[in-house]
Amino acid sequence: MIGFSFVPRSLRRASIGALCALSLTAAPALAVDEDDANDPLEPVNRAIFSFNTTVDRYTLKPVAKGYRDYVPEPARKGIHNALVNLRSPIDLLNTLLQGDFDRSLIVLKRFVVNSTAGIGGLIDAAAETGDVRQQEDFGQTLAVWGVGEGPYLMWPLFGPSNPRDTVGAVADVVSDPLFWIGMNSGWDAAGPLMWTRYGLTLVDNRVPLIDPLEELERTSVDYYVAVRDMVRQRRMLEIMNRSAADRPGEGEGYRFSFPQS
Amino acid sequence: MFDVIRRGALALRGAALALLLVLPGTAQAADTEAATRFVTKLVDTAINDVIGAQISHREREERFRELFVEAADIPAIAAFVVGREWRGASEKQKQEFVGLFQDVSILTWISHLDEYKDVRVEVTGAYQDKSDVFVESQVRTQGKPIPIVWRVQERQGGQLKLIDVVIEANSMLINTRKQYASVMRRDGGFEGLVRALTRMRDDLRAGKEPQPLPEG
Repeated sequence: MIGFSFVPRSLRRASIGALCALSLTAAPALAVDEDDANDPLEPVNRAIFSFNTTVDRYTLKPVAKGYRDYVPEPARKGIHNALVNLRSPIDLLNTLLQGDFDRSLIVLKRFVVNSTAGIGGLIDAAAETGDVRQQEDFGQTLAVWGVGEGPYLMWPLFGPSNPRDTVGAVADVVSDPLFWIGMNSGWDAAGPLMWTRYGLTLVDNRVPLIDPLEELERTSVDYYVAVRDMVRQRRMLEIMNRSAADRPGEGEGYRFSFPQS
Repeated sequence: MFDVIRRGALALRGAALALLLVLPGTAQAADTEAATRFVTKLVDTAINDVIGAQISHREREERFRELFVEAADIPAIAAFVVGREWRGASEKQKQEFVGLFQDVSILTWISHLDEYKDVRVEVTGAYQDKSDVFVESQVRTQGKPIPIVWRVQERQGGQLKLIDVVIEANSMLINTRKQYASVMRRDGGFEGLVRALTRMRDDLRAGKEPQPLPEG
């Protein structure tokens, strides 16, 4: 699920795994050609973005702020870890689909360690031994398979995406065993628990974006384009299994050429 | 998408080539140690003498302006963020734009400097890429540290200049350039951009939050 936030997922630390073939073609991720907005639906997207921003301002953002300010950090961290742990089946499936079996093994190991020693996922015990989260989704798998992202799309309430990641987001929901348990289980609590999980995920994803988005809105002449560019740069890192702290290769990412004066 | 990227790559290579032809022998390599010292000093000065100092708002703005103008190559940055429309502008327009861009940059930063009171910056590394040095740092306010990379270029005479700030792998230079391209496309080219930035500057001066562009 992309979530009701304006960036599908906050950037997650991921080790520089075996670089997928994509990194070769996707190298100069920041085409400096200012015209390549790849946003044919821009007028519609802008209107929806404006609607989303307003809805967010009165709903999700205040909730996320309250959550950040009133729920103690250890509790938020525990909830975050548990939510991440519940996503393990999706991470596992997609590392497998990407043929990245080393990372599949890490996902499995993490799930076992964190579900037991980590008390049902509340503590990220596996990260302490160096097995950090391998965040994968079907949109990334499609990218690794060579599917282009297509034009920028702004969904009402769901936020920014593109055709590839939209398909990916739907696939993530329906490939999640917990979704089917939530929908079909005879257990009365299954449905409410599932919706609680989705709700918490929305808030958990929105929290790290409170400050960056406020900052961006305040300092931009064109907030829509500022967000569009940020979303794309972040997504490119996720697909390449990089974290923001990793150095980009020559000519890629922010290592574009700048004229010498 | 790959098409777009490939085209971008070609354009980039073309631009790099053109530069090599136009500016023979100007490429100088800033060394990583000097660049690291430059960034460390810049950040320390900003924290100790501007953000953390017990001075009036007016004085703070003055000091920040001084530091910013000294450290950053504003004319080069301004030319880059405007992109291809820069070539069509007259000398006078260019000069005015550099001043305007400088004001807007300073005013956007200055209006929220208070929020960075408890900021701590730790320089963690640096690497060289042709003539530029990327100085890596971790910036802590509250919560998780944010990776920020400072891009430094050497000028003739050995002076170092800041040309980009990369926040969580997001180049501010590219982000700004994309925004400006959009404003120019939607709202009357270079002159439209000047109008939008002038409005932004006036709003910031008046202490108002800048109004976003009308949609449509």
